[in-house]
Amino acid sequence: MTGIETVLTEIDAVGRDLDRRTFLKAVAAAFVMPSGPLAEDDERFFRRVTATLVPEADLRRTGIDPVGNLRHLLQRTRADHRRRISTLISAVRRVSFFYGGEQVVLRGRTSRFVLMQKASRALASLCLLCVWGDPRSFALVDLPGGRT
Amino acid sequence: MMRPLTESHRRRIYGARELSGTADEVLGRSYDVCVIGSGPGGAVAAGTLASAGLDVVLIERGAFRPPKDFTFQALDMATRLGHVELTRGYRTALLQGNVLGGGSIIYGAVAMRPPAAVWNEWQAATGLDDMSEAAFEPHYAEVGAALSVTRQSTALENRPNAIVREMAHALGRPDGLHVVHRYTAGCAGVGLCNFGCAMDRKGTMLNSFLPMGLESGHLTVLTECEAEALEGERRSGVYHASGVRIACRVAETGDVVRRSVVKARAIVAAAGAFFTSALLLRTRDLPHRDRIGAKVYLQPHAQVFALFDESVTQRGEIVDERYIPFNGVPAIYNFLGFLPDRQFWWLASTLFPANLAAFVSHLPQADHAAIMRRYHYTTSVTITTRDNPERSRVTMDRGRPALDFRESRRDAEILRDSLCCAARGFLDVGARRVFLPLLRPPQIAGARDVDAFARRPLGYEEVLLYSDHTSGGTPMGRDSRHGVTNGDGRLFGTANVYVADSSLFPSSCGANPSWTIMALSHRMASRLAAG
Repeated sequence: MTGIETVLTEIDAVGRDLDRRTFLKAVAAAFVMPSGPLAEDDERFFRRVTATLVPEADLRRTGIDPVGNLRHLLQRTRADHRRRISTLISAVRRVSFFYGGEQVVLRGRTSRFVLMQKASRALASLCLLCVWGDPRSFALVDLPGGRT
Repeated sequence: MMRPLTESHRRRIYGARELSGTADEVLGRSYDVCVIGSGPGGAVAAGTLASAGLDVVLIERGAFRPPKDFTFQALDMATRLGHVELTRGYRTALLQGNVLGGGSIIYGAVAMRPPAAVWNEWQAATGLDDMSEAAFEPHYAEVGAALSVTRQSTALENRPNAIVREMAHALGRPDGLHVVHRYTAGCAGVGLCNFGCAMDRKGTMLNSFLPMGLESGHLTVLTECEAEALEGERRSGVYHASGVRIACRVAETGDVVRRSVVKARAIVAAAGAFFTSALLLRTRDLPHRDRIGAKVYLQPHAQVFALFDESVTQRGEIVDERYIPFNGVPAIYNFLGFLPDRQFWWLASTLFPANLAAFVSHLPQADHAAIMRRYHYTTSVTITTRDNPERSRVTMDRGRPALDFRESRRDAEILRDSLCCAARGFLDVGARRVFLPLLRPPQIAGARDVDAFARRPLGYEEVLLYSDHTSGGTPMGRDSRHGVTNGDGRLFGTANVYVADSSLFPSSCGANPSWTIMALSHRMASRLAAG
């Protein structure tokens, strides 16, 4: 098995782990972990984070809506995945002020917490999946056949 | 020879909602054998036992997804078919199938066997005379025929595979290049086996052993059912299982709609190395509990990407608003040149844009966009390393399993060596840049960069590793000093509890494990059926 795992394993596994580890208790004891559907705050955060990874002009040009794709993904997936993905987004949003808000996906990688490093990468992977998993993203890709 | 799953077969496949209502005729009776898990271990056991006339019930945690549900689209399939755990310390992700057919639905369909050195190691470790490739040959042949194991044609070589071939030569080990066997006689060349083959050209449990068992009329399949623990008792020091406690959970909602006990005269655990150990550890009164799950092997994988000046992949096609890449057969070659002495091998990876996008997500926005524009100019190999961890034990934490894991220093060295070799290989055949699977990867654009990377220490926690080759936990052995299960896969100290998956491996198998899992399972089931 190859390929898909590098996009998805961290999303799933980190989301699962955020449920049970003490990391968030230490960093943000006041927060209560959500378990319901994605909140509007989380969707806005997701959109802002995606904008740090993918140029706004590219999204406009292709008409890709990362949040719409996220909803599609959540709708299609199993209940346990849905819960973990929602947990991941919400949890990272709640600690993101330590890492420059939506810059968390880049700055979180330098965190001394390994879970934060992995969580920030997982969120980045999720954002990018919701852009580059959309067939319209091929409009952004050079045609094969030429040379650099 | 692949077998289609017909409508009459499907009538014997039950989901959680059906089991919540009027299914007492299914849950209310006793079976000869209850098999837990429907992947290459469980489905082969169930199909073989049912074909021999035993009354078999198969329990699968995931749902039934027919191939028409597969779309080849990352957004649709990304989180539908698999289940992931993370080792303690976040070092490695453990992936397995969570769908009827288990790992066979999402595997790359590469059929490999362990090298001779591993068989020798296994024979010494188990003390079993019949732990040899020759002894397993009829079982390899039987399952191979059922899954259309076919040597791939080099005429199908696409550019990513040509690069693997050129790397073997550039690294001075051309003899290490092997044409792979795959579970398909007619691959359509979409190149996304891991999303589930919508073309149904890949040999899986859904088109081989499950229809075989269902055709016999002796197999009942329960999906969306989690096996929680075995039920049974000790009599005269020997554990006798009487059934399996299950929870029926609707996949879409996560709701448990029924709890029950499936009664059977024998139990076959084939839930994958991690969950088989967990299931047995959750079972009270089982003997040798301290040795179950004591040593689990990961054979972790790491991807390495490279950017070339010339395009590597073709433009795909939009079919029904879906992008189908048609990258060609994903793996023609297995590069085994470094397996005997340096314990790693690689093959060409499955390629799709979201994979690359996530892989280079460490790059600033403009650089990331520039690399993504050159998607068709990138390729990747997936490395697998043969490991022997310092510590790797399945433990239970309030009923939930976890893998307490720490790689050995040697394993970390093997991993770093493998990354360096792949990077050098790519650069030698013309790559402009190489991307390593690290949280904060170094820039690799020349030999000096690789040399610098080779000098730095490396731990698994820094690397983006995953494992779908997890094995061990209930290894086979001649007696309870050599293993946890005997040569037939029966758990020592039990009368009727068997294991039929990669948990039986005494150590990392040094190959993609599915064929060997199926051969082991087929032998176990054949012997059990023969009484």
